[in-house]
Amino acid sequence: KPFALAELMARLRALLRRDPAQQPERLLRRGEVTVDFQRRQAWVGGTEVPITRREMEVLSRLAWGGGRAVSRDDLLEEIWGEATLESAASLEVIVSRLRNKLEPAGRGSLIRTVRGHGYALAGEGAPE
Amino acid sequence: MKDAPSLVARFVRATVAVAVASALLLAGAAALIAWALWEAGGRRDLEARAGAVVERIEADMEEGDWRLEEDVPEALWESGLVGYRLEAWDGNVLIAANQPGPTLGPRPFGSSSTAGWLITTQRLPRGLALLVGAPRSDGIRALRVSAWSLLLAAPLCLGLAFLAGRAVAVRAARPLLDLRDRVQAAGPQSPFVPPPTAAPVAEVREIQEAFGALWQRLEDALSRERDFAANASHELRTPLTRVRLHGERATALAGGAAAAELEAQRAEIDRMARLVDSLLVLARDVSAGSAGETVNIADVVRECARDVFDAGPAAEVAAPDEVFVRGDEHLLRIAVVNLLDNARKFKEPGVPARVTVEPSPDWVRVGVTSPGARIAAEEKNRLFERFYRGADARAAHDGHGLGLALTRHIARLHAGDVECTSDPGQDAQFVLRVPSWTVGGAVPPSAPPT
Repeated sequence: KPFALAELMARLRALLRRDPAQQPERLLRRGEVTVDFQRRQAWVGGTEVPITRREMEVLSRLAWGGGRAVSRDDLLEEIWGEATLESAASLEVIVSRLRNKLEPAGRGSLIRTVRGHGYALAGEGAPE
Repeated sequence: MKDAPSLVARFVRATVAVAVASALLLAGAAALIAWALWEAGGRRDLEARAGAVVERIEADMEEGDWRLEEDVPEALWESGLVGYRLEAWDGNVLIAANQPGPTLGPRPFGSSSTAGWLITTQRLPRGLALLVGAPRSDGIRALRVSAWSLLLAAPLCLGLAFLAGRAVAVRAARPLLDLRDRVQAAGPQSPFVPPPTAAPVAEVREIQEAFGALWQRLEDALSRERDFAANASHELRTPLTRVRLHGERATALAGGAAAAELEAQRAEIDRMARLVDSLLVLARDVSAGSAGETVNIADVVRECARDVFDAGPAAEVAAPDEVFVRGDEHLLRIAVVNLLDNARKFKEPGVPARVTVEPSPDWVRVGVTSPGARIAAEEKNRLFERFYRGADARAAHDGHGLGLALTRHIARLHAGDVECTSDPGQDAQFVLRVPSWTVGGAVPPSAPPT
């Protein structure tokens, strides 16, 4: 329908206005972990692991930041739309679940906690 | 339908009955003919020999000096009627019969069984008559033989008739059986396909054409209904959104009683919007299962339970931290909310509803129990019909009767289902079941990221 198309175009333009350098990669590889953000699937050592949409959004936002830390407030604003106690608790849970699923026992941390600020993706290309 | 006798069985019974009746008739006729032939043969022989006796007696009489008691036995003996005896009866009648022969002549009153069959009577001079008879036992023996052969032949006839009848019946009913198979195979996934060639039987062809037309009409009606629901949902949703927007602006401008009224109006508009959304979902017919995104149904259940049991006592939720399924989170949320919302409406006030999430290798089951609510056996399945509302619901609660239908539709879009699992005397329990998350078909991309 025309109005739906117009809206779609507007959204696409808004997306394109974002800094292209900050576009998230389609694929994330860290050691045994492979994440395909387009297909919303993740593998550890070739075996698919279940990652929900919300978890994928957090992971994607962290990957978008490269190795830089992303503040808790930014994550909450951009993914939950509001920074409340409830959403903050959800973020904690999601990070802990992501760690459980994507960090095979004994390996280094994939998601680093930046004390008092937020989270960062560890590994290759991380300047900090 | 199981109790009704099948067409084939009816054909078989009819054919067997006809075959047995005709076999028995034929056998009876054959026996009668055989007996008649035997009888005729014996009678011709007796008649010939009786003729010889008569000639002999007549010759003796012409010679004069003829005595009944002496000459007749002699004539009989000379005629070769071995085994026959001759008796004088009433002084002037000759009786010929074999040993031990029956008594011929006027039957003794009440003892007809001793009488034989009179075969022939020949006139003799001097008012005499030669009566030739066969003993009754001969005829009876012939009848007994045919009766026994009939009796022995009957089971064989029956068996043959049954086999032949069944073969004929199956063959005769084949077009109808074909049609039945095709009709049975037809379902929502596989439409009715008429056989490539027209049925060879007029009646079956007519049934097939009628059924084909009926099926087409049904398909058309269903597809019209779906189109209508989809269009209507879109067309209704847009003005509702505008009305709601105007209402919100008016609420901001108005104050006091007017604002409260506008707020009530907004709630009604929201209700209407939910109804329209439900219709939109019901009009969807695309499977949302295996290809869908990963959903943590335990989280969905916890969040929905928190929202739905906002006011009353919180629901008792027993669920593991993570239970995954594949599907559409938005749709699954609607399904779960509907179950929980029903629990809230129909449970005993003040008592918490019980919600469980149970994973297993094949299925994830979400159980919702409403303490105090009862579901009558006859309502158990009707509850899932669109726009059906139970007696309780009509009396005490608002709603449009789409909730459970919607939940079932969503469950089936996910290759699962929802059922009422409680007995009429128990707290009402509904179980939503969806296939468990399994590793998807896709493999990790192997190209290194650039």
